[in-house]
This record gives sequence, C-alpha cells and structure tokens, in this order.
Amino acid sequence: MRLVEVARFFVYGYTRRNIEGHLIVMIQVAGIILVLWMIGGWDYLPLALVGSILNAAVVAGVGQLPVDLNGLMRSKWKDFFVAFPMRPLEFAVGFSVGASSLRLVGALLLVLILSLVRGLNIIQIIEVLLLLASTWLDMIALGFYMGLRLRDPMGLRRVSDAAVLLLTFFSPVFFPMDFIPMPLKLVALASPTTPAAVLMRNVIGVPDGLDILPIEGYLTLHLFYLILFLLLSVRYARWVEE
Amino acid sequence: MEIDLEGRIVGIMGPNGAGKTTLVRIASTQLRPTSGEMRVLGYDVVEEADLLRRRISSLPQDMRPFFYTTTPREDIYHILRMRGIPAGESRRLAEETIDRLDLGRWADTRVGNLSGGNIKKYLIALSLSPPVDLYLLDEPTSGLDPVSRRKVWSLILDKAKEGAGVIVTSHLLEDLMSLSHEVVFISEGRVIDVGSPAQLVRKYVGDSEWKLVVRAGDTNEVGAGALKNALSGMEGIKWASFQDSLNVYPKDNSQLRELEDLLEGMSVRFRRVPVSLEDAYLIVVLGRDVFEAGRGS
Repeated sequence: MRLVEVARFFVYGYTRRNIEGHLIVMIQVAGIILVLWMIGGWDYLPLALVGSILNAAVVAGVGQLPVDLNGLMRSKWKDFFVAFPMRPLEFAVGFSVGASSLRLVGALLLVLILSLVRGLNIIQIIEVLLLLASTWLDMIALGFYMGLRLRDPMGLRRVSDAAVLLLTFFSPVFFPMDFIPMPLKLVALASPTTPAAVLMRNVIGVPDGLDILPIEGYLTLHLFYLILFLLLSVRYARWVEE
Repeated sequence: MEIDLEGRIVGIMGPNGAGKTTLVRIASTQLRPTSGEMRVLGYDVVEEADLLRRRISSLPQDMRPFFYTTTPREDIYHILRMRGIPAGESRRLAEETIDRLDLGRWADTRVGNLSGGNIKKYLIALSLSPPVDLYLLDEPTSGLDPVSRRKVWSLILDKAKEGAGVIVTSHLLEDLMSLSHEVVFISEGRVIDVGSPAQLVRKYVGDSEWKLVVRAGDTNEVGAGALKNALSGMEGIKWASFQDSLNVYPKDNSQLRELEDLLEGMSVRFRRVPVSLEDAYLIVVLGRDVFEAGRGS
C-alpha cells in the first residue's frame, strides 16, 4: 500500500538517528507535566497527562507540520513529489504522519502512563486513542490549511506559535472546563481542542463541562471541527502550480 | 511540435530564462500550462497527469536533500518502495544504481556528511533508479566533476538503450552535442528549432567542420574593421564578434582554405577550431542576423 510507504519514508527521515529530536520532545512533555504536578499535586497528574496528550497532537499538527510543509513547498522536493505516482491525499497523510512521528511516539507513551495512573480499561484506552487520533487529524488538517495558505515562512511561524498557544494554553486543555467562569465557557467552545479535552477527561472518569453541554454535544462539536478543517484542507490542498 | 522519445535522449537548450525549466516542469506535470496543450507519452499533462506520473521520473534543478540523517541507500530504497516497487526489486534497483554511479563507498554515509558532488549523485540516483519510460532531468550534471559526469551520462545512455526516453537540460553543450539524439532550441518561451546536433550545426553554421578564431589583438595592423570588410566580400560567410575574439564560419571546407589564404595574406593570426553545437547555439541565441556577411557586428 503506497500510503504506508509514503508514511514510512517520512517517519524514517524524521526519526532516524534523531536522538536529539526524541529527547527534546520528551523534555518538553516532562517539563509541562512536572510544572502542573508541582502546582496541582498528585490529583492533578491525570489532567496534566490529558493536556499533554492533546498538546502533542496540537504541536504536531499546527506547530510543526505547517512549518515543515512550507519548507517543502519552497524546495524542489515539491516538484519531485508532484511528479510522483501518488495521490495528494496519500502524500498529505504520509507526510503528516512523518512530521508528527516524534510527537506521536511521546503521546502514546503518555497514553500508557495515563492508563496506568487511572487504571483505565481497554474500552477507555481505545476511546482515549480515538480522541488522540481524531484531534491529531483535526490539527493536521488545520496545519495543512495554514501551510498551504501562508507562504511567508516568518509570518507562518508567528501564526503557528500563536495557534499553539490559543489551542492549548488559552483553551481548557490543561485545566478543566469547570475552572473557568460561565461567559468564558462559551468562548472556550470556539476552540477545537475544547471538546476533545472535555471528552477525554470524561472518558478517564473526570466529569467536566457537563453543565453547559451534554457529552453528545461535545462529541458533535468535536466532529464538526474535524469535518470543517478537513474540508478546508481538501479545498486548498492543491499543490500543482498554474 | 512532436518529438519521438522512445529510446532517445532529447536535449533542451536555450539561454537563461528561455523556458527550459518551465518546459520540463510542464512535461513532468509539476506546472500547469497557462495556454496550449502538451502530451507526453501520449498523455495530456493536465487531464491525464495521474497516468503520466506512473511512467515518468524527474530530477528538478538545484534540488537539495530533504533529510540529512538518512543515507543514500536508505532513501533510494524508500523512494522506490513509494513508487509501488516490491521490496526485493527495490533493493536490487537501489544497489544497481549505487553501483553504476560509483556511490558504493558513501551509500551508508549520512547524506549530511556527503560532499557536494556525492549529494548530486545521490539525488540523480533517486531519479534514475526507478524503471520508467521517461526521465526528465533538469541540469543533472551541473556541479559534477568530469569523471562523475561521465558516469551519470553513461547511466543515462544505458536507460535510453533499454528503450526509455530522456529529456535533459544542460549548459554543458559538449555533453548534449555528443549524447543527445535530438536537441530543442528554445528562446523566450518558444521552440526555435528541433533537430539532431549535426543537423542544427549544419543549418545554422554551415557545412564546414571548422571555424577560424581570431583573438582580439591578433588582427595585426589590419584592424578588425578592415578584416570584416574583407570578409564581407566572401559569399555565404558568417562571423560573430565577441569582446575577446572574432569567430569566422566558412560556408564549406573549400571556402575554409580560401579564408585561411586571405587571413594569412593579411598577416592575421588565427586558430582552426572544430565547429560545435555551441556555435549553432550562439547563432540562435544572439540572433542570426548579426552573423550574416556584411552585417556582422
């Protein structure tokens, strides 16, 4: 299957002999967890883990992917791959998996730690993984849109940094929805990471945000963002020049 | 314009900005034409791009490595696998290409640690390793030493012998002269002429196999103006003035002897140099008029 080979090429390229890259990701994730654990104590660890899992998807999709995609689009590799016998979707998914590979390995490790800390059963683990996968897909779709729309690398870097902040630190990702006052809860729903975080907290047995929407409402909102960003990405994922 | 590509090497020549790269990019489906139509291997480059891509492989100009921590052997193998070639066959093709390009010693070295020439060979290997019907190579040998250049051309020639077509751009006119079956002259986005190197030389330069080159300062006391006046009296002769020399093209070998007698009679020192594709190229690029007898610049 060509998609697997495309993904393998990029995963190999991004991870091969890249010990520094693995270490940096681990240090970043460990740093965030440590800070939140020190502030919130042992009880806060599961919330910090949920935040870090979703943060990994956001950084992979919106932080790194558009910057790498922008670099690729400005290089001759774009021409090389355009003339390649593969569909743009195969390339998009394969490249995204590759560019995200370091973060996703870290995220899977966090899922394992979360499962042990909370004693999750297999259904809960699968639900957490599905939420990670759908959030990652959501974020890479947004990342593709950003990477193909914003051609100026410096401008893209600024937008990408701002987007990561908005989607992880200004949204209730590391902290529960219930921590924020009512009018801001409605504002928080405008962030695509909010429903994913609320859903994941509810999956691991931390009820959250159910005063303004039922769980089905968050699921609907999560799917809505996913479809919206996929459509945006597909609409602009044209890479053959006129 | 229709060019037969099967088993043939077609060189694209033209000055900077003439549209060589644009032509190659359109032919390899990387760029959509704003007007007109192009069919490659029978496929429309816009409407049937997906079908065409299965049968071509391209090397963009000035390509740089994407990953620096992988090795040539790994990347060539993965690129072949990405084309849907089975693992065993990919391994065999990768080894064969590495061997043919003399990359064996560096095949397991990180790309980031390769020399500029070996990086170029690694990138050429990515393009030439898949077995396809047409290779589109934009300046494949620029930056290579003469030995490496010969190895690349040898591989390109073998691909053509096996029946594949090759479209190649190069500023190294000697290479195109000796290796291309056909040459396309383009200028300002238009095809000026197409033919074998010998045909183009004959058409633009003449039947003489030689030109006479007079270096600036070697015109003796005669002076360049008087020399050109004397030349303009000879029917069918052409010349081109450059800052450092005057190239004189007799129409045939008999006029060559006449011309040599004239110059010797005028005590002008000259060199006899074989006519090449470069002369035809200069005539096309600089404009034919400036070479006509009596109107030379």
